[in-house]
Amino acid sequence: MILIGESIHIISKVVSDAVSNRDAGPIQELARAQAAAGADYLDLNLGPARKEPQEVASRLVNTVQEVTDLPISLDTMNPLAMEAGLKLCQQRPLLNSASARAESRQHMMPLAVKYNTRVIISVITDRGCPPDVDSRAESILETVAYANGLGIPNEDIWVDPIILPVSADQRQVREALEFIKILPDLLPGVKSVVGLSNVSNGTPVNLRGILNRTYMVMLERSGLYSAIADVLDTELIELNKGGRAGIRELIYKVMERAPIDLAGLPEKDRDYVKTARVLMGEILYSHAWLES
Amino acid sequence: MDYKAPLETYTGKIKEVVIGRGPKAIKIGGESILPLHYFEGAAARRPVVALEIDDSGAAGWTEWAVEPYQDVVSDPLKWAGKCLELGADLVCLHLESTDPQGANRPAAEAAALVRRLVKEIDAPLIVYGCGDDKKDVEVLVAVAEACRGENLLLGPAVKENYTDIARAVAENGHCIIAQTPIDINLEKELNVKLLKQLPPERIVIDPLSSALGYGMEYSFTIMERTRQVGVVYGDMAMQMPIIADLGRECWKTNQARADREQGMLWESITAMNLLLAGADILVLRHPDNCRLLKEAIEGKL
Repeated sequence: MILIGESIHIISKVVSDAVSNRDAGPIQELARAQAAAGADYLDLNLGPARKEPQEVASRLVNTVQEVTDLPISLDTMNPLAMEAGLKLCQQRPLLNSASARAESRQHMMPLAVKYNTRVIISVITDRGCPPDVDSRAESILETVAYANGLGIPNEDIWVDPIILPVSADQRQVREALEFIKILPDLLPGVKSVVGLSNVSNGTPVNLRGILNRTYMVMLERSGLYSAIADVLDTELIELNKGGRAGIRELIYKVMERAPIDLAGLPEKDRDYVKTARVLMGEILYSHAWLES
Repeated sequence: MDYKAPLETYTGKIKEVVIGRGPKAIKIGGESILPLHYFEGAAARRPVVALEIDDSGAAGWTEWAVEPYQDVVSDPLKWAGKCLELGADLVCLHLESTDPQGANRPAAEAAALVRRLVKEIDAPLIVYGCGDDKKDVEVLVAVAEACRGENLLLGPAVKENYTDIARAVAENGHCIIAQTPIDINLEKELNVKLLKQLPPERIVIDPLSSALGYGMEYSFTIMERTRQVGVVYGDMAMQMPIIADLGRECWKTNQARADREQGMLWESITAMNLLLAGADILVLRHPDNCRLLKEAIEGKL
């Protein structure tokens, strides 16, 4: 699976301080570390970029490109910042992201055409995130048709089903899996992408990794093409490279609802099984899901 | 051809919790059906109704709710007796006077009162602290120790203070009320933690009961979901009986304070709904509503 490193994110204190202090060091450090870890793209998340959008975006793109050749996934809601950043990208970038929202159609999607980028299109509409597979499908068909109309081919479109936190809405976790599964039939040729760590948003920090990793394996099995993820998580990288086959097998078994003898497993394997069961919606989520 | 109604059977069963001891003990829970689905089988134990008393002379109670107890509210012992006379299955004491924001009565005094009550009255006792995380630990631990072996239902134990309360409950032979703020995931988390200190047969869930018009539908949803997860999906951490401590919530609404009839309706309608949602113990204030709900539970309405 293609991995897009998520660590250069304006919500992170290190990053926001570095941006406001015009300090290239910490950002280049994160860029190097993620490249070394095996990221295929680097996500640069500027958020809404309200202050000096163009200046901040250009500076950030240049800062990162000074230390890596990886293509950039430029992540901002601000079209001014987006355009300023895309202009400078040396490798073909990923525009992150567009959606069915009116503002996005008018101001974001045309940038993908103008700068010949790959583009993430999410299922979000002006009314928010569609609640189930069918409404997600309906939204994405319409938006992708619109994008095609602008001249963006399916091969350049990376569809994002929107991952919601398991602690907030457990059912949505499986809806997204189902959506990924049917996407190739729905829109042949498009790729798929998720913001993986969102699944563990709201979960105690020390427990986020196992949720992210387990869900990654489940999504990959459902046909996922790429994920914006914590590539500094070495176990996640290992799983993505096909390592830890035993754990992968266990997660598949849970997805197939095959019987598993929990008592006979080492603790770590057991934790993966429990996590997969929570993500499949078999067990009600609580922060203490590994303790019972 | 005979028609046979299609009936669901479920894998999960709610744990039986015993409150009180000896001949006056009451058993709750034990059902393997959804709330009031008696047609689905299992001669399940039916829900019970408690009437509420407090140790501060009904301070702040709406006059219509005090009316039936006018002459006894200053004496919790007599008040408890009156509740039983008026049809309550058990009595629920709120230790309001221990509140540090109020009278701040010391834990030892509260414990002595509970001890006297439990010896004298002829029914099991539910005891709620004042709701202050820290003071409740002191008070509930003292109560648990003073009433060793009496098998009270004690709470609320919350995320912030459950460890010490659960220890005292376990060591002194009582049951615990696990309280969470209308959130099914937090509810399960607290249950999982408590299960490390107590068997499930000693835990009762309090998901908080909001009054009609003040969020009752949220409480309803959480109770309904709790029961479904426990009975239908067999989640072991969610198979405890539920307590709906709703009387106080209903009688403090503006509607109940404004008008007696409204107050009666507010309490009975909320109680009826939470009964349907899955409550095993209803805590009410007005004895007429106690009678009404008992009739509903017995299927006589």
